Amino acid sequence: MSGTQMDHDVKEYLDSYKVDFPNEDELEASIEFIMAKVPVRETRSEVIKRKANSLMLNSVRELLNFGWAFWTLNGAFLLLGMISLIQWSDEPYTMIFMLAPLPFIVGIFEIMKSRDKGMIELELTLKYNAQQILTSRLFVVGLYNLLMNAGLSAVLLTVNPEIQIARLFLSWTVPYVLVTGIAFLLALKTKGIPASATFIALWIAVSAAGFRLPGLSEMFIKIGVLPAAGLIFAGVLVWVINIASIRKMGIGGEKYES
Amino acid sequence: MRVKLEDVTKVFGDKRAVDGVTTELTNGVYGFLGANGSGKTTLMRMLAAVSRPTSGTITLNGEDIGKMGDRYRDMLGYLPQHIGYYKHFTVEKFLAYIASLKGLEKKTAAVKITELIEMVNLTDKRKTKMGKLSGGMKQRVGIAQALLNDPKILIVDEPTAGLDPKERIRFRNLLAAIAKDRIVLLSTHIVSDIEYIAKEILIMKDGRLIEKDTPQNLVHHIERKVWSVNAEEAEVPAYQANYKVGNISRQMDGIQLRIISEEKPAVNAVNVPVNLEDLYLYYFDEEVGA
Repeated sequence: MSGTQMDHDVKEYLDSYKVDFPNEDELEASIEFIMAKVPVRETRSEVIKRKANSLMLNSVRELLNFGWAFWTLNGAFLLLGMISLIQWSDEPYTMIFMLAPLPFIVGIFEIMKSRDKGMIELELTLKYNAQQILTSRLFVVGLYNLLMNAGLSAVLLTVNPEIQIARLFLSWTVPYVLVTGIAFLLALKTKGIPASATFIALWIAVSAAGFRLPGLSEMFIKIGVLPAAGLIFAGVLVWVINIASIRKMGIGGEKYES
Repeated sequence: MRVKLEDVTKVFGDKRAVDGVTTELTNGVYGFLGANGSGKTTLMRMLAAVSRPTSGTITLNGEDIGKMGDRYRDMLGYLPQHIGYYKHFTVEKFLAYIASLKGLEKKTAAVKITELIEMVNLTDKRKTKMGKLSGGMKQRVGIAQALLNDPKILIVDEPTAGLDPKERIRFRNLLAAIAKDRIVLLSTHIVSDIEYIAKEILIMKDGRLIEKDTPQNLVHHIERKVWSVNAEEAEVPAYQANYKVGNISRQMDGIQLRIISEEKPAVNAVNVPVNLEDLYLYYFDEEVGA
């Protein structure tokens, strides 16, 4: 049977039925009924609001589940920091430079614990998945570090009014952005605890030795805004790489397991 | 609910871990049977959207699971083959943490946690830290976490590893009971895990899906290929060298061997009823699972 013949037969068959066209009210009622079942597309602001709420909720949960080691080590470093600031009160810029990235570096093992403890495969399948969990932990530790640095700056400015606010700000923002970025990059490539421990030791040793070299301390303290901004920009770039790695994070390179 | 796999392939370097798997899964228990390295875990990971196929698609009711994001994860329960735990968490805290990540409300989670802890027989270990649990107990916690959100798709990879026989039976019964209105995918190399509860068994070998059928039909395929042979002790090595030998049992009048063979292995050989362990041995030239 040809296509045209079939079309004709189907038309003839359908013509034997009479279908009443619905009236306006029936049309409206049908549309209203269906509309209730159609998912409404979120606006951009609604998406941002939902994601922000989710980040807050996840961050609070992660904060409450941080292990004692994080708080103990940070408490110890805070104490050490306060003693150092009193001991070397004539070198506030140097001291805050050295202390600035430490809370974050200490927190790396807490941020990376999903992968290090073998939980990542399971967490990748949860509603709030591994990437969201890791981002929340990053947010908590990063914010905690930021508050510590801001608090320490406030204390220094209170006890020593001669300190220049802008210089003090640069002294901690450069290591806070750049050094934490490099430390986290290292942790992504290796494991949280060794990366954390190695980087703390390395950072303290290198920065302490560096500031003992004649001229280097002076050079950093007198660093211009532009070079400092350049270093901060480099730090931001490292963080862009880190965030891209988090987004692609899977079960550790997805190796074949026989 | 319908999960459809179309020509799903996963390649690692020059190794095709999963090779062109095409099948369809609806509500009920599916047992993935295969030796180590057969591609079961890789396939499970792709079904859990942990890993993406190199080529091919996996869809749920026509929608690509990779694009469904948290809508897919929300209806998923997953127990990986190797699962770590946060050692300093108690059993209860661990489950509460996972429940929260699954988006369960606190009240609902509390009720569900109590119910599941009881179900996996860990009520007296509720406040015990995960680091202090035995391997079997950790596995039971793993099973409990997979069920927290009442998943529509439950994927469990070697779930009975480390469980004692009583717990394995309990787990099997549980799966059979909950499978009515959901898809349960269970991978194992232990035949008895799936023999009585699987709607269908999928046999994987070298990354390929070589059989998919009901246990009864699969067993039917090798009917008249399973033999019982009475032999002298000295003849046993020769049989083992030439045939796939399953059970070997010592009798009053010698040794009784269970042999899988296309042809009659001895004059006195008689055909015996086939079971799934024979089927496993037929496909995989290895020792039969417990």
